[in-house]
Amino acid sequence: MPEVDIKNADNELLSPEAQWKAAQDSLSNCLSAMHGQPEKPARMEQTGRNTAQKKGLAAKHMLGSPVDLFLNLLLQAMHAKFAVDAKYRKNIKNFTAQYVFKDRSAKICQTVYFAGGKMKVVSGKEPENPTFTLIFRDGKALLALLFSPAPDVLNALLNQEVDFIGNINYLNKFAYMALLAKPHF
Amino acid sequence: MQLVTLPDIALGEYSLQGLGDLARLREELLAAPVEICIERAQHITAYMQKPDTDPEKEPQLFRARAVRRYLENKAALFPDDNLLAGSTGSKRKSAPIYPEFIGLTIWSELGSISSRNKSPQLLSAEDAETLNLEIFPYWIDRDVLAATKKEHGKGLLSVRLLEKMIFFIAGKAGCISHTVPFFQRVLAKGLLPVIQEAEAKAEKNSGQERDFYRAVAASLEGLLLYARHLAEKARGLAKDERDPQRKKRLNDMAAVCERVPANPASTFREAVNSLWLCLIGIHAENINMAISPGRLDQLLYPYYRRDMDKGALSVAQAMEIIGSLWLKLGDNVNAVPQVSEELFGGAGTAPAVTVGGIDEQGEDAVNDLTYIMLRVTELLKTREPNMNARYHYEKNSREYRDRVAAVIGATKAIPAFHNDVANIATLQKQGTALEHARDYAIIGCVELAAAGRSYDSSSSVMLNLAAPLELMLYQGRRPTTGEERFNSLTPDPRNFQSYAELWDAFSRQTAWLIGEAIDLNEKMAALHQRHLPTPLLSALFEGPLEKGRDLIFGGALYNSSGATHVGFADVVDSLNAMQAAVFTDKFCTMDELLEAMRADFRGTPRRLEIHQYILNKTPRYGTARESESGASRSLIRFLYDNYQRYTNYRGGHYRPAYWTMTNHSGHGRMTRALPSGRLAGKTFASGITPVSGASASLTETLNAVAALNADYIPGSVALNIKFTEIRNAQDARRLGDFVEGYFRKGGQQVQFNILSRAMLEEARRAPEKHKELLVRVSGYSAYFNDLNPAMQEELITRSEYDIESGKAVHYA
Repeated sequence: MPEVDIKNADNELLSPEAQWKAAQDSLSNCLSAMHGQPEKPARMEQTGRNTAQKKGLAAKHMLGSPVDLFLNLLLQAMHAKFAVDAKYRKNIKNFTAQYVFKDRSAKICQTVYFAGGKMKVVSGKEPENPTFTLIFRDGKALLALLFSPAPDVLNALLNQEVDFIGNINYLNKFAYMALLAKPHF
Repeated sequence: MQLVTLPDIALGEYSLQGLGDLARLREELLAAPVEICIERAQHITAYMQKPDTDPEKEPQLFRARAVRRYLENKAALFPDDNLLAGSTGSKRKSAPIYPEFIGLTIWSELGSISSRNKSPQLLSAEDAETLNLEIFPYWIDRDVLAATKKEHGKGLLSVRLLEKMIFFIAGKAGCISHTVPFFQRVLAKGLLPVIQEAEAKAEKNSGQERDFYRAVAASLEGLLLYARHLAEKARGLAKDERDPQRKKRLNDMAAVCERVPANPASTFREAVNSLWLCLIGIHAENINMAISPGRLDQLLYPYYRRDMDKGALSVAQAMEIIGSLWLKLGDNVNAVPQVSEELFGGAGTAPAVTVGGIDEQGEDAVNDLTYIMLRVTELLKTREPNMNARYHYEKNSREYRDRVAAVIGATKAIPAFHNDVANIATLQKQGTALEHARDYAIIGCVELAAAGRSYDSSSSVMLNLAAPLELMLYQGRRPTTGEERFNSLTPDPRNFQSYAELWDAFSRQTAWLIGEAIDLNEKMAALHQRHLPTPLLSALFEGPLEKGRDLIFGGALYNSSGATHVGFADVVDSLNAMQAAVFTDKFCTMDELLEAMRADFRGTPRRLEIHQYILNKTPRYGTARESESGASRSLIRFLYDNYQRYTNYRGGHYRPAYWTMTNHSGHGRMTRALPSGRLAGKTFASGITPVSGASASLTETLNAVAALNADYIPGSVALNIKFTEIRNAQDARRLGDFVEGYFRKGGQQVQFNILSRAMLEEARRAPEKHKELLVRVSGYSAYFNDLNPAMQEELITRSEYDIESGKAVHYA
C-alpha cells in the first residue's frame, strides 16, 4: 500500500479528488511556511480533517523545519494528481522507473516506484538497483531544485546542492512532473 | 590574374540602405524572438519508432533514412523575404531540438524556458506537451550520454567527472559537428552525380562500404527533395502574388531551387544558395555547432568573377547576396537549458567564415570578394557569421591588413586575425600536406582545419586546468566537491622539497585527467560510430566517397580530435607563484599558502601579506620575466606531448588548443582561491590571454604570447586584446602594426574589442540602448546584453590599451 494515501481523522481513505485537494493545501502551506508567507486557510469544509494537513501544519512546530516535510508532501501531491488527472497520468504511461530521494544526512529517504501507469512511494528502505538516486544537501536544496520558477537541474549540480547516481534524463523528467503538480498560489 | 579590381577596397559608396532589403532583414532578424522548433525531433523520432531499415544490419542507412524522412517532410517555408531559399528550422529564428544529443536537458524547463530572464526560447504549450509525452520519453535511455552510461555502467569514473561539471566538458555528449565541409564538388558538379556515383559504388561493394554508399545516396536524396519542395512552394506562392517585385523574387527563388544543389551552380546566386541548402542538410543531420562555411571568398570567387565579367552581376547585387547569406547563417541557435546560458551565454552557433590569406600555391589570395565580405560584415555588424581574416605578412598587402583593422574598428569586434605563417607551419607539423595546410580555414572559434579535408572534432574536450592543480594541492580532492576523493596519485604538497616535486605531481594529475577525458571521448565516439554516422556530411567532404567510409570511421583525408583548456593563465601564474614564494624566495611555506587560500587570503595580516607578495613579486604570465623562465612554455609543451601520444578512434592525434568561449567564467565561479592570488569564484582569464593587469605594455604581452611556440598549439588560441578606440585610418594602421609585430614573432591569433571600460559600463547600465553591441568573448562574438553578469564584468575589467602608446589604461 503506498504510504502517500491520505486518510481522514477516522482513518478512512479519502476520495482521490479530496486527496488531491488536501495534498495541494498541505503543500501550499508547507511552501508558504518555507517562504515565510501566511498559510492559506485550511479547506476543512471540503476535505474534512486530514492527517496530511495536520502534519503539514504541525511541521513548523514539531520538526522545526517544513523543508523536511516538503518531499513527502510533494510526493503526496503527485500521487493524488495522478489519481484524479488523466492528462497528468499520461506522464507515467508506459513509464517504469525507481527513484530514490535522500538527503546527505540520511534523515530523509523516499523511494518512488513508477510502473503500470501508477506511482507508489515507500519510506526508508532503498531498492537494490534503483533507476535513479538523488542525494540532496537538504530539503531547501531539493525545494530550490524542483520548485524554482525554472527548475535548473544542471545549475544545482554545478553548485553542489545535489548529487545523483543514474541517468540525469530521469531527474529532468521527474522535475518537470513535480512542477506540473505544484500548487498555484 | 588580377584578383583585386575594385577601385575602392573599402567600398565606401555602399550603404546598407542601398542593398535591397538587407537593412530591413537585419532589423527583423535581430528583433525576432528565438523559438524552439520541434519539427526535426518529431520526424526523426517517428522514423526511429517505425523504421523501414534494420538498424542492426544497415546502421548507416538507418541513420540516413531518418534524416531523409525529416528533409522530405520538412515544411517548405519562407519565413523572411531573404533572397536565399531555405531555413534551418520552421521559425524565423529557430532553436531546433536534437534529442539524440542534448535535447533532453531542457526537459525540466519546458514550463519556464519561454519566460526565463536570460535569452528566453519560446515554446508553445502544445509543443511542450509533444516533447514531454512523445519525443523525450523515447530518448530517455537513448541519447549519447545515457547510452554511454548504460553501456559502461553508472560508476564509470570519467562520466562521474563529467557530471561534476568542474573537471572537463565532453563535447561528444552534445555533438561532433565543429568542421568545415568541402563545397567545391557540389558547386562544380551538383549532388546528382554524387548520388549516382554512390549508388554505383553501393552495387559494387558489400558490407559496411555498401551501407555507407547507400546511406550517402539516401540522405542526399532527402536534401534534393527539400529543395524541390521549396521550388514548388515558391512557384505556388508566386502564382498568387500580386506584388510584381515579390512575384519575381519568388519565381527567381523557385528557378534557383529547381537547379541547385542537384546540378552545378551556374551563377553566383545559385552558388550561394546551393551552399546554404547544403548547410541546411548538414544541420538536419548534425547539430549546428560551429558548422563553418570556410573560405567563402575563395570558394565563391569563380562564380562572382564569371557573372561580373558577363555583366550579369553588380557589386551591389553581390553584396546583397552575401548579406543575405550572413543573415541566413543567423537563422538558428541552439536550444539550451538555463545553465548553458550561464556557461556559454550568447554563443550563437559560431559558423566561421574565413577570408584572405594565401592560396594553395602560396600566393596572395585576397580578391574582390574578400573586400565585399569585409564591407558586408562592417555594415551588418551581426554575430553571425563568426568572421576571421587570415593574414600572411609576407604575401598579403598592407592595404588588406589595414582594411581588416578598419573593419574591426567599425564593428568594435570583428573579424579576428589569424597568422598564416604560424598556422600553416603547425598544420604541416601535424602531417597536413603543404597545399592543404595553405588552404586552412577556421572552425567555430579559432580552430584550424584543412578545409573540407580534415575532420577535427575540435571541441572534443574542454579541460579545466585548475582541476588538476587543485587535485595536486588537495591530494585528489577539489574543495568544491568536499571530501570526495577522485584519486590518490600524489602526496601531501606540504611535504614537497622542491618545485620539481611539485611540477611532477601537477603533471601526473594533469595527465590523469587528460586520460579520463580522452577515455570518455573514445567511448562516446564508439557510440557515435554505431548510432550516429554522418553520411550527408561525409558526402560534402574530400575522402569519404573515395574511401567508402563515413567521416566517423576516418573517411576524411586527415583526422584529429581537439582539446581546449580553461584557466591557462591562472594556472601558469599559480605554478610560478608557488615556485617563487615557497621554493625560491621561501617567503612562505606551502602550509601557510594553503591556509591563506582556504581563507581566500583574508582575515589575518599574514594572509594579506602572502597575497600581496604573490601579486606583486612573483612572475606573471604575459611579462618578459615570466616568458624567459616561467611555467607558460613548459606547460604548453607538456600538454602538447601528452595529447599527441593518444591516437583517436579515427587514427588521428589529439590537438591541444586554448580558447574558452565563456567557460572561463563558469569554471572560475566553481574554483576556490588559487596560489596565483586569484580569489575564490573569480572569472579566469580567457583563452590564452594573460590575467588582466599582468603587464602595462601591450608589446610585452604580445611578445610573451607569441613566445609560446605555435608548433605546440595545433588547435590554435584565442588572444583577447582591448583598445579604447580606433579613431581614424592612422589608428587602424597602428592596430595593423601591432598585429604584424605579434605575428612576426610567432603569434597565431588575436581578436579585439574596441570598447572602453566606460562604454561597456554604460551598456551594462542601460542595456536597452545597446541591444546590438557586439563583443568578442573567447573565440566567438556575442551581443553584450546576452552575456551573464560575470562575463560582462570580465569584459569590462579586461586590460585595456591605448592604441597610440600601447600602454595599459588605468582606471581609478
